[in-house]
Amino acid sequence: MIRNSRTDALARMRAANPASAEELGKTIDEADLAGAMRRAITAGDSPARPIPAGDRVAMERGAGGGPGLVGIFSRHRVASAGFGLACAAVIAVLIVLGGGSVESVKDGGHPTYAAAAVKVAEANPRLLVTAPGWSIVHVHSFEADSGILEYRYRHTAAYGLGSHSVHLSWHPARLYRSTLRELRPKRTVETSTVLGRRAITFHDHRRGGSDYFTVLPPQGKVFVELSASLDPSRYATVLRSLRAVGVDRWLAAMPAEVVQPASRSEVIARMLAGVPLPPGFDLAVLEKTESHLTDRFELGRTVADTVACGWIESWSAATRSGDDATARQAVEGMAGARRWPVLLQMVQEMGFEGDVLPAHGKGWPSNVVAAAREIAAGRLRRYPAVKTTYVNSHVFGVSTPRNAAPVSVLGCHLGG
Amino acid sequence: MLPVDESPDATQDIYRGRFEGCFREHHARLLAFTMRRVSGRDAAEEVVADVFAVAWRRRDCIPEVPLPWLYAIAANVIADQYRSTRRSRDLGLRLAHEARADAPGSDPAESLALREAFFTAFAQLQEQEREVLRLVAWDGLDVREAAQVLGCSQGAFRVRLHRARRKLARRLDAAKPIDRECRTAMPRPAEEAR
Repeated sequence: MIRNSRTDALARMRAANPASAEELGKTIDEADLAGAMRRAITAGDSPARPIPAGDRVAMERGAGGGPGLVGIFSRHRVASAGFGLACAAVIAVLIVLGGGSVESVKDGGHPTYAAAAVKVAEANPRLLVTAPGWSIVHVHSFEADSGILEYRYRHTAAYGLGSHSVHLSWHPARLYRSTLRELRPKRTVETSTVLGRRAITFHDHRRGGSDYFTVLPPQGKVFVELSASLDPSRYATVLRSLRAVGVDRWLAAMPAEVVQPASRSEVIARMLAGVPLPPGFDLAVLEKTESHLTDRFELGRTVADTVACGWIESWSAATRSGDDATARQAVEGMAGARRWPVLLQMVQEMGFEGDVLPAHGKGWPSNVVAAAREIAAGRLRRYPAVKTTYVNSHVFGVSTPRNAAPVSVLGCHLGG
Repeated sequence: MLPVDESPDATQDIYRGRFEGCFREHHARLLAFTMRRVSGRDAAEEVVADVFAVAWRRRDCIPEVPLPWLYAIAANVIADQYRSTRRSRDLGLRLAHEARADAPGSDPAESLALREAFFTAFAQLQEQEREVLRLVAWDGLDVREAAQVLGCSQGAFRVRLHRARRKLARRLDAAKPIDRECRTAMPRPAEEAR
């Protein structure tokens, strides 16, 4: 009886709701909304205007409750949630990028592509996803013996509900068996014929997801893997659409910045414009070229990480030694990180959800800002730290625990 | 995204898009949340503006599910604005009178009597009890989200909710419509502020 009465009480309360969001929403048009937002931003940007208390307390209550990075030891999730961090750690990256003129490599066969890109293509099985609507949006790494292509379906977001992405990667053939061993536990296994070869598909439906990994046997010095979090029929469609193509067609499918020659140092210089550099910063570390290719996002990430870690390491050392002036300089150097042109461009190009950066802790660029905030508050977290996984003594990937320390995600090396 | 002309500093920010998305999606909900707690739309819009000013300052902290976070800011802004006055007292009753006039699709006789009875009972609860009930019944939060807004554990919130529901049920059983004389004599928040 009491329970019925209580239920009635809430029902009556709902019926007496004095304000309906739906009804209110109808009374506000686009212009009103834009004006209200402009005023809120102006007020928020005005240091002279005091904002009522809520500020600090709300942060403590609300911001800490959001989910952090996920994907412990899930290779696909590492690749997707960590923006290719998995292999960025394995594979140093290189060249790049658009903007410069396209030069012919004049090697007789592929006049519009960088020589290094052609070498990668020639050593590769050169598979492509040909299902309609799928296209390569990012090349997380691009080397002869390893690389990751990220496909996305039409204009779906990179993250969250409605996102559809697939990773097509290649790895050293020597890691083939250990990869199978690593994927087997707790997953269902199916074999099928893909491009006339026996492929093994691992299906992981734990945590309510539907992660697929299909591994093809080695071909030359590499083997190919396809991975995705998709519903079964969509994944089957993608898998069936894999085709082996020639060098030109394969390179033509890549984003231009991956395969066109350009000056790395020129691109780095553009990225560093407007970014305060830490004391003793050595540009040569960034400009050092070896034999790798990468897209602009990966190079931007390297540039931003290097600068941020320079400041953070400077702050850490200064704090330990009691050098307040240097510590303050580091805090000031990082204070404008959210406006560094290199980060702005990456957020725009990554197309996370439109141009919306994922929630705090879910998008790599946010870790730079989070680290800046931590040193400003004088509390730099080092744990939980990103974990590196090894197979046969080789770095196989990394996993990012929930609420990982930003400096750990950035890969800073702190003494002490 | 909404077209907003701002200074270079404001537009050149990696969290700009996230803030705009949050603003667009939750502005109406936040306005409704505020109108359930302060009297008058103008006052509510002032609170909402302050909430989003805070959210803009903290845009790098906007969580994946922003609504409880925004509500927590709003609750603090309201508490801050109303702390030093008597304005928050009897707010439930004042809201009842405003809602009475606007009740959509209500039967003028039966609905009005029920609503008055409800708000009479509701006004007899302590503010903490009213807030627990508001979060669930009006703001549509689940226990986890509501606990986040209040900064307490889910277990503690469940206990508070249980007690508040029970107390409201008892008051409803005993409630009588608001005395008209009392109602007309009740000051508006704006009058109190003068």
